[in-house]
Amino acid sequence: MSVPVLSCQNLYKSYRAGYPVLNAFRCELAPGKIVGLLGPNGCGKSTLMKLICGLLSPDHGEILICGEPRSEKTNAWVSYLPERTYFDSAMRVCELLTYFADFYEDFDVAMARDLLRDLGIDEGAKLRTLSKGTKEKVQLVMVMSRRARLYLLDEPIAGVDPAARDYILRTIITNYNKEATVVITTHLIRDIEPVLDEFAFMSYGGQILLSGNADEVREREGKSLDELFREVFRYVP
Amino acid sequence: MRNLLKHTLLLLLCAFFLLPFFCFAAAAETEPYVQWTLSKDCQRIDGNGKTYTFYWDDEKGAIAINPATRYYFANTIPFRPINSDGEYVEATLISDNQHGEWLWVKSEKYGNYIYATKEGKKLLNGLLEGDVATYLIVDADWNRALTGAKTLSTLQAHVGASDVKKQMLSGKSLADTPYYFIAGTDRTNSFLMRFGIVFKLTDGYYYLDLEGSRYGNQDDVFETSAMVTLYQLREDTAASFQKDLKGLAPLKITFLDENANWEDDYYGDDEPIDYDEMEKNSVVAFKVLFVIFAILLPILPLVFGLVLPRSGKLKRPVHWYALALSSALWLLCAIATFIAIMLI
Amino acid sequence: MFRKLLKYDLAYVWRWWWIVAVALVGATLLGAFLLRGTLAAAEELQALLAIVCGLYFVPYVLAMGAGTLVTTILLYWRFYSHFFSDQGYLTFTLPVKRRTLLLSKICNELIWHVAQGILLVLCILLFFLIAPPATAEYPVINPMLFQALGNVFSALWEGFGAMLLLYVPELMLLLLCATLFQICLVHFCITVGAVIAKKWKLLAGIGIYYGVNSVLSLATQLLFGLAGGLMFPGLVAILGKCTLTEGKVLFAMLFLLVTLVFLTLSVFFYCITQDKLDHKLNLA
Repeated sequence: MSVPVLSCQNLYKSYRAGYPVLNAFRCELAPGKIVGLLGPNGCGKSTLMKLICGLLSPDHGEILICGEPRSEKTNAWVSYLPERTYFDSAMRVCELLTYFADFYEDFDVAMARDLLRDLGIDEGAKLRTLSKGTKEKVQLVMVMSRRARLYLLDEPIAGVDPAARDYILRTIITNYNKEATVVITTHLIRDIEPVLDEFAFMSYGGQILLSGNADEVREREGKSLDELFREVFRYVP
Repeated sequence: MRNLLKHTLLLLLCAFFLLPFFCFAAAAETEPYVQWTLSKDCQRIDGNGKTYTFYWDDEKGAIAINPATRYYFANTIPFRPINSDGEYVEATLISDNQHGEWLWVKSEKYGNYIYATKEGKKLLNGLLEGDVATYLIVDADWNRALTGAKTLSTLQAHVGASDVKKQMLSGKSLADTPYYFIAGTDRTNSFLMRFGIVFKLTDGYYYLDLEGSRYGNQDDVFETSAMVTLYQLREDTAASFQKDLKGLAPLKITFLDENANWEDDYYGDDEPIDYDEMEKNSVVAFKVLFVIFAILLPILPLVFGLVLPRSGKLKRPVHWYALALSSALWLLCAIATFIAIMLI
Repeated sequence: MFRKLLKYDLAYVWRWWWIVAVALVGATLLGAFLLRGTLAAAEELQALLAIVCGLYFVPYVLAMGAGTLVTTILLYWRFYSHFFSDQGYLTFTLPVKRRTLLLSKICNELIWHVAQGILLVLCILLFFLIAPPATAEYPVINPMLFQALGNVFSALWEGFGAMLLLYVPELMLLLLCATLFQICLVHFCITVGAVIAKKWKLLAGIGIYYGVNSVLSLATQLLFGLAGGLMFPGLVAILGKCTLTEGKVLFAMLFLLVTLVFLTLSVFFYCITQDKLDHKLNLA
């Protein structure tokens, strides 16, 4: 049995005493899947991703990535796309390529260049001169050009136009490491549904209300995941 | 670091053991009629178990010698100045009764000359360069009050200041004015150097700086018709100075007869100011505070740095050992410094 | 990884610092030639040129201060933005130890503080090299600066002798440790501010810096008041009793002690900052 690419055991995280964002959260993800982590705003999806990346420290619990406890070593296996732009806007695109190549051994510069060319982005352009949408695309290109074992994409299609959403989803599907797992968080389920292998509906406190193989559940329930989501969360305040 | 500490401790140990010999050798001659010999070229005087070489032609009597500690030798010496073909005259010899590192050779015909041993020259040179151990206010009757370097610097700051009143008076006119000169003694308490004079005029206290000439003699001021510039003291400075004057204690000068030894100076009917006691207390205070701030204080971070990375509940990463290391270095340096201070 | 981080940190500051350096050196050269011209000018023109000089040198001195301020702001802005702004998402997801991240920042700031110090000294030296007017003996460069420096060195050598060879590196080390202490203190304040505050993190950091500085100033004033009143006369008495050599050695040891105090304080603030980054990071 292969080692799970991500294993969370009894994760507890709160920002305020008595109000946990994640309460005894557990999960295990097998490699080679595209998993959708779906839930309403504020249910702890981004918090979970930040905990996995080490941007936050859990109050209790354990996170294992490919069997190893989370550390800077596991950062080399995780490719994270936050919902905000995270690079120095004074840099040029080519400098960003060099930066990623310097720090990530699994970064494929050639692939990144190809993707940027497809997008029509000049490598010599300063990042601050690019539009918001283009910056997000550049960021996505950087993340997906890594041969990581776990991709964490936090709201990758929020705030972009429908055409861009299609492009992003196509980029994800065609360029990710097929042996890796991709975790996508979003509340735009209709757009993301076609690409998902598995899903989990997450509620407040990190509670998983429903999870499983996307195709199987769709067949069993006779509904799309979007309809199922509305049904499950209708009564959730 | 280790080598430096080793050499420092060795040096201090040597100094510690040599010091008594030095002191014994420096003790003033207790026998009267010390045999003095002036060399042919008049550069050297031997006697009192020492060799004194020429240091200064103190024509104006600029260096004041502490009247409480000066020692007049009973006999005289046939003397003439160096590089002189003049006749030999009888000259009195005065020294410091505690250390005897210099000789003040006084004669009516040729004036004052100073001869000194190597150590004496170091003292005199040191005083010239500002190595002042104690600052004093001395009045015309040689009453003395202790003051500090800050008093002098505050007074000297008045010179040329635009916000203070100044007066130009002839030196001679100041001869009968009450005055206090600001002086400093060297660490052996034998030389007195005058930096400036505070006069009490009708409209307040005024300061006259002896213009950087550390060997300025007030007699020069009182004998000259030339105009000198006096600066009025600011209110707070005058108040502080008046407060210092309250500490003036009379000093009796004992002149010695031929067969007598030196006598301790005394301060009239009042209890003498025991400068040695004051010095001892300040040294003790320094040592106690040094132990608290330099030796005891780093123990806290040292303990934290050692305990935190190992403590189960508060377990911290190993970079806290760096805190332990730097505290340990601090502690070691402080202990070494303290040992050095104790050995002095 | 440390070298790579340092490379990027140095490059970031260099992007702006070289402009500051060129501007300051240029202003120094201009001022020096202006003064030289004024001193060498005919008497009728001197008064006017002196006014021009005066008008020039006030902003020049302010510019020197501003240059140092700009460098400082650049450095600490880099620290804050790299760790606690959105860039922190990239920084803390790099496969690099937190310790390495912090150490590279400290090294970067130390290097640029030293560089800024060297720049200021260079400007002053350039000024005194060029400003003195030419003489018949020295038609191009008047070496009075070198002569003055030589005299100072001779006087120092005469006063301190071979101990000067110990005092100079000790003084350099003391300055370095004092700078390191300031850096670690600022890091501590910015980190604590960022960890405590949800919004206005930088403002919180500045507030904490003022607070910590006030406490440290108060403690230092109390200590020096105590030391000045009680310890200083004792120290003077001790120095009065020792020989010149003993006194010099004692000074050297006291210098080293002060250096180690700064070093320990720096390490203390570094450890707390490191702990906060390891356990309390809050990039919400």
